[in-house]
Amino acid sequence: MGFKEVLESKKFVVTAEIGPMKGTDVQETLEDAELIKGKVDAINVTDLQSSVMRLGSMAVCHLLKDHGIDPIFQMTCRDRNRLALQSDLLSAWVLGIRNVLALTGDYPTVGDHPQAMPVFDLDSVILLKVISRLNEGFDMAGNQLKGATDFFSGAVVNPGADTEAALEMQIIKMEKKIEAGARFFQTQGIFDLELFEKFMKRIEGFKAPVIGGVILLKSAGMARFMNKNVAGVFVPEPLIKEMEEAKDKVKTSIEIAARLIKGMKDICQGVHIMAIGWEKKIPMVLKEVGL
Amino acid sequence: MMIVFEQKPFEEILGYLINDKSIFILRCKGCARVNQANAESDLMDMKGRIEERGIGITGSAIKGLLCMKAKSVLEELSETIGNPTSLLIMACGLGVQSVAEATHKIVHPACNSFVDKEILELGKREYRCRTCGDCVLEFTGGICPLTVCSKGLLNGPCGGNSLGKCEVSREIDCGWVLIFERMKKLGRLKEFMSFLEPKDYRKIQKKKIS
Repeated sequence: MGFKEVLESKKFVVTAEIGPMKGTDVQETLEDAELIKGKVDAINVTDLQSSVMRLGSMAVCHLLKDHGIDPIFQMTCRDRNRLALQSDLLSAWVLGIRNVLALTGDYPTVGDHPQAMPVFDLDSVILLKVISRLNEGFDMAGNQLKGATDFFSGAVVNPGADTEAALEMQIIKMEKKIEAGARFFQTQGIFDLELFEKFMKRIEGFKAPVIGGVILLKSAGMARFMNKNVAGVFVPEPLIKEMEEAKDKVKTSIEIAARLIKGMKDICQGVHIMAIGWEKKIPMVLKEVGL
Repeated sequence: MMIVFEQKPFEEILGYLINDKSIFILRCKGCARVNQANAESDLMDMKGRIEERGIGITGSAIKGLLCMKAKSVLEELSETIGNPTSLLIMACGLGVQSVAEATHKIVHPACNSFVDKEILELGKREYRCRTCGDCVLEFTGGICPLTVCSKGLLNGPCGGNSLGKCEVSREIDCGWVLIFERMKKLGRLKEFMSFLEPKDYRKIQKKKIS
């Protein structure tokens, strides 16, 4: 069963995330993928995450597909105008990619080519509309395609927005994304299940399943860094303390992730594991949860 | 149009002059508020440093508003310019382009151009509106998302805002938070929910300044 089928059958879905490396050596990426193959329903491939120039998402998605893994092609609006975005969507379809995650994208100045021109010709909402349109067999300009796509498109939402205004806007934008064609949502990393549950209550009735994000904590320092620098991520103090006092950091990290995933089982329809370099540890997390 | 110019590093300018035997230096006097100070001393300094490197100088002049008057300035100077292999222009990008348009000689820029912060403040209206030809202010509380949001997003904020600030700089307000708070206060969240279509870039003015 592919990712779409699992999600539509209302089963609890598990996705992971891979960030392509800088360069052409794909060996480690494929090793990581092979290790989690069969244990997850799909793997997201990020699109120049944090605006750092790397191997592209489409190529890695294609490789994953060849290895029997259902990829989720992440696509941001940062680097391509509407011509390139649409063309890349057609290319991705031809290469066998079936799932797309539409994102705005970080600003270029946060990455390693801060001199780059920020594009943002479209935004994530419009990109979702464009994907819907391509699925209907038309491009943005209304021209008919010879051969349509049939993407399963998703989007992101950030339940941890740190002000009431930001959270209300997240919900409004989520509604717009659903109307534009988003059929699933993946969230930013969640560490506070109570807060997440409250968020889920607020969006009760929204017709798109939510897959909760779980970030593997590597250290207390990483948690503090994220609290300070990553919008929408907040690691509560008790968890930071737990990591700080841990004798075996890996073991504690896996325990925390497993706890969060267990909690999410009653709250949302899946979990998205962001291992950030610890991809090899994903099987251990899933084992701990019993998935 | 007021643009602030700042002299390029001297070695960079010198690189431009590598094939020149002699040059004529033209310094813009500046416009209403900018570039006026030190015109005389900047020019003297430049002349001295160039001569030191063994490049001849046929003459020099300080003239106002090169951006608009390059043609008449060059006519006026036709007697004094001599026969330099090129012109070195100490002016903003507009000034250099206008001079280049008015002569067949090689024209070297001596400066980099910037928008001055103070001028930006004075001319805020100009920078607040991108003259996109398809105004959406009705849906955004009179605050333009194209200019107030760093990414110019039209359908709500990205995920990068934190405590109401922008991911590009925590010193800048998130434009979409401003729009949202305004629309909420006005009781117009229904309008706030509207889909805004992507811009037609043909309508956004990118015409030549004539």
